[in-house]
Amino acid sequence: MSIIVIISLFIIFHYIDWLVPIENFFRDLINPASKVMYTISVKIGEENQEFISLEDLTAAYNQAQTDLLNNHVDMIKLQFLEKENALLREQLNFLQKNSLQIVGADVIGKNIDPLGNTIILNRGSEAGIRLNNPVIVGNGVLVGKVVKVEKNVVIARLINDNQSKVAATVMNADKSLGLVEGGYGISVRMNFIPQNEIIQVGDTIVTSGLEAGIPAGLLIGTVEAVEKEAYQPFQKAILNPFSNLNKINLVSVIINR
Amino acid sequence: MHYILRGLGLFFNIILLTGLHIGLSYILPYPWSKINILFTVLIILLLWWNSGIIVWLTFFSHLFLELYVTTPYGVVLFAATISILLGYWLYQNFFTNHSWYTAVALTAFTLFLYRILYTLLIVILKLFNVVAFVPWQQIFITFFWEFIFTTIAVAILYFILSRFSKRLNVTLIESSIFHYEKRG
Repeated sequence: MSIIVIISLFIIFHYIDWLVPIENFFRDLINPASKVMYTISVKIGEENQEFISLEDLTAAYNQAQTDLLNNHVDMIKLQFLEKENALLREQLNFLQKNSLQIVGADVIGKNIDPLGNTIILNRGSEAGIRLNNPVIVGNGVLVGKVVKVEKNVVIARLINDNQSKVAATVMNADKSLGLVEGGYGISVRMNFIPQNEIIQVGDTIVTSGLEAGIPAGLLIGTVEAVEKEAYQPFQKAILNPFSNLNKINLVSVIINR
Repeated sequence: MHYILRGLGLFFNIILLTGLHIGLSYILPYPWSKINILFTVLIILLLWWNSGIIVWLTFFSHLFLELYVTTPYGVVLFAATISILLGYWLYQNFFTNHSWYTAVALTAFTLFLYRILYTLLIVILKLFNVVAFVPWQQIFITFFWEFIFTTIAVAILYFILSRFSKRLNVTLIESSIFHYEKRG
């Protein structure tokens, strides 16, 4: 009985913030170890790839051979494009262009409970991060949104989480609007795209800016497949995210709009 | 002074254990990453020490674990502590012998209870809209792998430790009684 009373007291103290100093102290103790372990896990993930069957392995090998050949061709093009890109990069620096205020953060861990697909960042409310702030990698690739803020730590929900919903637009002729949703941590879909609008494989999906706190134009992914049923009012698109959501090391959190 | 040092040592070990649980869940490939390291160690310690201190170890280790989960605060803490508490009671009154199958049965029972309590609390929180969406399929797949791998881990760890420890080795206890009777 006494243990139930103590657990209840701890839960109450947590919600009225009496445990914050103690929790922060222990976070500071565990976070460095968590960061090291997470970095190792990302490195291991980079070196290994799992195949379900021999056919998959053969197909992957053949694909790799084709890719290698294509890469040689691309290499020549790349050399020409590099100079052009350097000039464009200066002009199109995403963050400067949009005058966004950002906070850089290291990913120190990921979800260990089955209730969500999330990452843990080593910056918190002290750095100005608030709930629902968008989390990006590189020059404007959206990977998630902040769902829990503590003093020195935040938890961000990735875009492939079941509960993730982001207002988005397709960069097609119609600038189709829709909602990007996650699916069991393994896929990203765009739903509620009007049936009469034309979506093609390869189209780019960006944030629409119709959601509070999320600026327009953050890259989300490209269309991998389109699901269109004649009797449905909306069509769906399966997306290929721009960023590998299992191998995120460094992110930026946009703290203003 | 001795007690203070012992307490600090225990505390440091709890942090280390929690760190190990979190770290291995990152590093191990799926579905091995679902092994519940905390429960594995706590149940082995319960069999080893046969002491109520395990309930407090469970409490503090899961208190730290709460800092790294998205589940509403208290769910993991309550479910884990109560399940180990009942596991301890069961060990005191029913599974009283030292054998690998006791370890397996105790692990299976406490894990099952832990996840039942966890699910129950999530359902209650969902009724009150504290939890917006529950991916049941994903949760039950996780429970399944956790159950299988943790039980196997406890059985293997128990088997290995019983080769080196008199406390966990039923054969040694039996043989000592035998020798005692023989001498008498």
